[in-house]
Amino acid sequence: MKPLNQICWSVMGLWMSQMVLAAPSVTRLTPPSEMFSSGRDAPIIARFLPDQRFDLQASIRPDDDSKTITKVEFAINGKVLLEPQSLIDCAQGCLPNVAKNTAIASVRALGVKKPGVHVFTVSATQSDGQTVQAKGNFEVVGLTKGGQKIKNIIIMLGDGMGAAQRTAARIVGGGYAQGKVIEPLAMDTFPVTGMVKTASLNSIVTDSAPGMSAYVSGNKNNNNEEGVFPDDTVDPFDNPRIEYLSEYLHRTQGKALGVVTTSDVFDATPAGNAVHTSNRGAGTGIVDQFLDDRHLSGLSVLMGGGRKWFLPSTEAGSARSDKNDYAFSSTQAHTSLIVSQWGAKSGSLDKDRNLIADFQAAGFAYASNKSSLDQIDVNKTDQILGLFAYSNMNVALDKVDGRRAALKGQKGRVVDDFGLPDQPMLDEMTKKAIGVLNRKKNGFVLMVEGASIDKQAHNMDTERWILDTLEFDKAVQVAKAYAQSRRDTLVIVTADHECSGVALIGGSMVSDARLQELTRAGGVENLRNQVVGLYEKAGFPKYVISADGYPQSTDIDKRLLVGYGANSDRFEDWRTNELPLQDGQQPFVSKAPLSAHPADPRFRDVEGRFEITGQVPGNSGVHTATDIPISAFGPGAWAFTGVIDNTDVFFKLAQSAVAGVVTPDFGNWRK
Amino acid sequence: MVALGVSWVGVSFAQAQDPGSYKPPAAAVKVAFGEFFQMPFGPKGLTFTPKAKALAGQWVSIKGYMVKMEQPLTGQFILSPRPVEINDHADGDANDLPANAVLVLLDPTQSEAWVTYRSGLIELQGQLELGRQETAQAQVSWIRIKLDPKGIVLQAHPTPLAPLNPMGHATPIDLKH
Repeated sequence: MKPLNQICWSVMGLWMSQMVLAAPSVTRLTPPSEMFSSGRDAPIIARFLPDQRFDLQASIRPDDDSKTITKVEFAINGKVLLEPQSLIDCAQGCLPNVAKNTAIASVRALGVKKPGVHVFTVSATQSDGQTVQAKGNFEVVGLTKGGQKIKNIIIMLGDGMGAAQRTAARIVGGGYAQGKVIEPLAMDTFPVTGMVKTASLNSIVTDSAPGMSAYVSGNKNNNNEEGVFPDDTVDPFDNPRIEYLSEYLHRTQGKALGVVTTSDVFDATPAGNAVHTSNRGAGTGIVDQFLDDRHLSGLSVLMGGGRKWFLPSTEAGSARSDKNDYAFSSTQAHTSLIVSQWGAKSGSLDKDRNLIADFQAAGFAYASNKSSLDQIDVNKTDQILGLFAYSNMNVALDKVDGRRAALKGQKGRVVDDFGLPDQPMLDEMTKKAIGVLNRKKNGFVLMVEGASIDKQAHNMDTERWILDTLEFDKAVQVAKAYAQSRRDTLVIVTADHECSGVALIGGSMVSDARLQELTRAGGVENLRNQVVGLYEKAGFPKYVISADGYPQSTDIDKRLLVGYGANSDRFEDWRTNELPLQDGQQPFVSKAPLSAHPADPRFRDVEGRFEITGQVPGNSGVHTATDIPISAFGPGAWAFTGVIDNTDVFFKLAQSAVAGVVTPDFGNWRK
Repeated sequence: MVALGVSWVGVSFAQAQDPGSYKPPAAAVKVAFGEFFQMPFGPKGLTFTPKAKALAGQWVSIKGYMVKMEQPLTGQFILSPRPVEINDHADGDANDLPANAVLVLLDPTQSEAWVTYRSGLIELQGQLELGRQETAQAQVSWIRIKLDPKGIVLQAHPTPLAPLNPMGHATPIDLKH
């Protein structure tokens, strides 16, 4: 080639490469799809029921700072959408790594009826006339005409409750004799079991937000996000939404929703049934929307802790803040369309709102403790708000300890120091919730959470999460008894994920008295080597169960021993974490100054003498990616077999409620 | 003195490094957690007791437990009537704290320091402050105790209390389980 031609080709190549670079690009397309992310048709990421509402959204970035995006068009299967659309830029309110002239286009509250895989496209025009297109896909899952339609769905959710947690509760609460269980857990008696894969949209290790919303929206969400797909804005309430099971069944069938938990009610598991947010921590806005959008979710029962969010900021104990509240602009289409298309309320920054009074004005009976809860007549009450603690309720071990002490006329227990001596147990809350929801003529969806199974597993506090699992199982028994009396109610027992890699390693070879001596002696040689009984030395730990249904003591001779596979550094002495000293005892450090040091992650406290180095940094155990067991009881239970995705659960629940129970496909075994 | 890249310019040090010789600025009135709000708590919000209101701004002495956190904050810690561990990273504001937990604040000149966590009952003296305060991170507190900067022994490195007996406590104590 002559040199001049070579130069020409080089210049041409450079010019053409610049042309290829200089074009607008679609940086995000929602609902998420592999078609958009990697070009592959499968796996399908986003799935919806026929006519289940969801939002379309695209982020489009111009090719340089001087340009803007002037027009955006969405199409599904080639047909351009004529629904109202919003278009904003990122001059304000977007994530730090997003260019300020990025455009975000949204269409809100679409429903697609036709079953099958649908391809959707976004076409955008830049201010210089250049265009860009991108495509993604989603599936509408068709329902099969089945038999009996179930009226009520009860989702019993043991937070962090993997197989080991269930087994430990059975060993402690039910006991074994020569290898056979003496008293099964209620959840053990459910006839159908499957295994659930719990990954979130962005990790094999999920948290409680997508861990809940997968079950009740049919879709994967990012960690910390519930009922929404991720977006590029900072506002936690404007994300593209996915209609919840509660909302879908309330809209199409008039079903009611109940949410019962032992945690603060703003927490991810309860909120992930009714509130759409990319920030599970936005407490004020979350609790406001429980009430404001009850016409969408059908919320009729809300019980748990979290009273601090419901008090006006002028009242001591309130945690309300305008910084985590919600308020949609009525002039900016990006959020005003949420209001007009979803029918959501626009909200306002109102930290002085008296939310308890607003719930009462809306017809909710209010209960602040077990006594006031007992007084509610379920035959005359349509809605209940129960707020039994300012944040999380006390755990079962401490509630039971308080009740036993009160029977003996004693005070000064943990619940007394918390100012809340009369908190209900989860099974009592569940019974009351069912009593009210039972009267809903179109049926209900009820979610009941044993929240501190997870929270105490994070603390690697063995006895406290075991007792919380037993408390949760008593609530399972309440749900099962109700379903048995009705024959139109499906109950599932499941978990959002496993917590802390619980391992039932064996039994103590020594009595509790001897264990205390070994604790004083300290060290691995005493506390591990002389205590941990493996294999046949584990035997069958025997816990005596009191009349109240809980162990008389957790510090028994030859106790169950639990290790943690996802633990942080910790100190183990195998004994129940001490009920602390009463007031009046001498403190360890009297009137001495504290020491402080530069913020340094290498610091550890020194508490005991059997140090276990953790696999994870920090102070707490963590969630794991392990599959968890699901158990089902009632019509439609047979759907919950096999190794299933957590999003599959949503479609199985909907199939039974919307189109009727079908016999599952048991596979190609006849061939 | 510069340690671990943190500048100590402007930070005041304890005049006496010997813990036993520390004396608070004023006579401290003893207050217990149960005395801040009327107990047991009512059905809605909390009500400060007359004793608490009278002590606002005064020097108080209180016994409690340092709250163990996943991600301790500099310049502050929380004191609780019972030992509590919170998973602030995993669970945020859905926590196991009692409503009468006290936010203990170091002097602003010491705001970059972590207070060494210790388990067990401790006793503090500081200036009591009541009323609503909200941080930039939307954390709301109602009871605060502000520590005397001279009451903090600043160390370059975190070290455990020494010596420890086999139970891990600083001084022998008769525990009732």
